[in-house]
Amino acid sequence: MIVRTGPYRFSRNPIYLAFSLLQLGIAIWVNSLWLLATLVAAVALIHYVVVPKEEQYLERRFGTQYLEYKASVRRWL
Amino acid sequence: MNVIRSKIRERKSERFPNDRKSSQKHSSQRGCCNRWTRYRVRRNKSRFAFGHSLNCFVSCAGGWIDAASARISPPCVGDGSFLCTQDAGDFTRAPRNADHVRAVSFFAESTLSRWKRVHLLRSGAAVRVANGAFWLLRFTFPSWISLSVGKKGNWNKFSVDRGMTTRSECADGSKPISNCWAAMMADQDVPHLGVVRPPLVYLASIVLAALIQLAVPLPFLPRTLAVPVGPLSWLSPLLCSLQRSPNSGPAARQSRPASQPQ
Repeated sequence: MIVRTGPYRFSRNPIYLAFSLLQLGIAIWVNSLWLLATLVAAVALIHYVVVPKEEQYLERRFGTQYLEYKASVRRWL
Repeated sequence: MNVIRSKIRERKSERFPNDRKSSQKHSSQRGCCNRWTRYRVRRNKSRFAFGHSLNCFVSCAGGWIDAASARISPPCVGDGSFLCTQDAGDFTRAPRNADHVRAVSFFAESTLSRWKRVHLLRSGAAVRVANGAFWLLRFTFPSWISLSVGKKGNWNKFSVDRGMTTRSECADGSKPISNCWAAMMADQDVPHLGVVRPPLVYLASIVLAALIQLAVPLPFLPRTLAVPVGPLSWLSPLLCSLQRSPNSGPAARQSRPASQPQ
């Protein structure tokens, strides 16, 4: 069953989004450009490596049900 | 010559008192095994098989089980909890013809009552424990997960590779072993991400940045702006997430199984 409620109404990956926001907040709070730079690298890795693999798996597992959800909700925001 | 043999036997029985008892217990239980062909385990002075030694267990049907690189204590094998436990057939769902294959029982010497053991088996807790151990081993030491079981002349090989299960049938067409292993593989149908686990990615990036920051501090905002804005960016989603979803039901009770035992 695909969850479409709560934060999943706005983002297909709310947990990754929360991780990214948390790191962004820490980067601003401690005023570190290095944290920002590594955040960009981490998000790129998630975006180009992790999420596509997960999406392939979900398409295989749920088929059209997931494709509909994918068409209606964006990957990040 | 007979005197020397009897002396050797006496010395051996002094050094390994459990051997004869355990093998006799096996023979009486199964009524089929010669005590010297029951099991053979290479061991060192501490009586444990370590590392990459080859452990061969001779089965009652005359076949053998090779647990490659397994760490198994010979006294445990001899005590009968490893190969000949009746409980094992229950939760591993071994095929009917595979009477020469017996799995490890977690409850062989358990202090739990029989009722609790049955409850644990039916609620799937034992299988989850087995799955956890199996997957921990699989990802930590994939080369260890290789098990071959066969009768004399008829090979039945079962091996597990990363993300793939291969299995060959017996020469006589009998059923393959360890259906439970295949079931375990099917249950774990998840995307294989390798070492790129998202929490580890974020953690590594934070740790790396912190280390670099300690060595070479590099601020990018004025101090007066950084302190109030920083916490807001992660506190606001956190506060939003504390709202309870209206569709969520009551919390699951962990003290009871999700399904009724049949």
